Amino acid sequence: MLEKLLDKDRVILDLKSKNKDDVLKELLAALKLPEDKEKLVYEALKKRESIGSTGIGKGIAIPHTRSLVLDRVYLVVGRSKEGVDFDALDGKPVHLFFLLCAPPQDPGTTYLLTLGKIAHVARKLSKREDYMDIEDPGEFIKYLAKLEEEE
Amino acid sequence: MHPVLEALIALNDLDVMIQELQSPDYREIGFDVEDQIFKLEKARTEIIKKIPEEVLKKYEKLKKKYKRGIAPVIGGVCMNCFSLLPIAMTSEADRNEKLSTCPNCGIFIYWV
Repeated sequence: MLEKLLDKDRVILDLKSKNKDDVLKELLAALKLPEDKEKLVYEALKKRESIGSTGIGKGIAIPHTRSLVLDRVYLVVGRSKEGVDFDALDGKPVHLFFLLCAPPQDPGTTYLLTLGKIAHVARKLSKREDYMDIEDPGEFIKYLAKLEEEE
Repeated sequence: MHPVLEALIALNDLDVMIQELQSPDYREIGFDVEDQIFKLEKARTEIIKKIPEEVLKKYEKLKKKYKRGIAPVIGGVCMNCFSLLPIAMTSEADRNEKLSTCPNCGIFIYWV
C-alpha cells in the first residue's frame, strides 16, 4: 500500500528544515500544489498538530490531515539526518516524517488504512536505525514496502 | 480564491478533523487526543468570524442534511449529489473567485 502511494519525488532523504513549521512546509512542497491550496493544507496540518504532536517518539512523526482542496491521498516521506524538534511525545528530535494528506471524501477509506499502515511500519522502524543509511529514494520505498509486508 | 470560500474550506477541514478524531478507527491507530478537541473548537470559533452570518447559517443547515456544507467539484461533477454541473458554470475561468452552490443539491462548491 505504501509503495503504491509513494513516488521518488515524494521521498526527501535530506530535509533542510530545522523546525516544526519549516519541516511541514518542506514536506508539503513535494505535493507541488498551487499556493492557495498549499496554504489551506498547511493550516489544517498546523491545527491537527495544535491538539497534540504527531511526533510519536523514537525519532518518528506522522503529520496528517484531510483537506477539501486535495483530489486524492498523498504520502510524502522525509528524513532529517540532524533531527528536528517536533514536540515529540518523548521529547527527542524527529528524523523520519510521514506526511499523509487526503480529501474528506475517501470512498475506499484509504486514508485511515494508510495511517494505520504507517503507524505499523513506524513501530518496526522504532527498533531500527538502518533507514538512516539509505541514500536512494527508490531503495527507501522498497525498504518501507518490505517492512510493511513483514508480520 | 474568494475569502469566504477559503474560510468555508478551512471550516469544513476542521469539522472533518473533529469528527474523525472522535471515531474509534482513528483512536485505534494510537494517537492520543483525548480532551484536546476543545482546542479545535476554539479554532472553529476563529474561522467562523470570517464567514457572513447567512452563509454560515446555510453551511450549518447543509451540514445537518448532508453531513457537510461544502463539496468539491471534480470533472464537472458535484461530489455531494454526483450531478453534472451546467457547462456555463464549468467553463467559467474565475470559478473559485466567487461563492457558488450546486444547482441540484444547493451545497457550497469548490472546484478542485
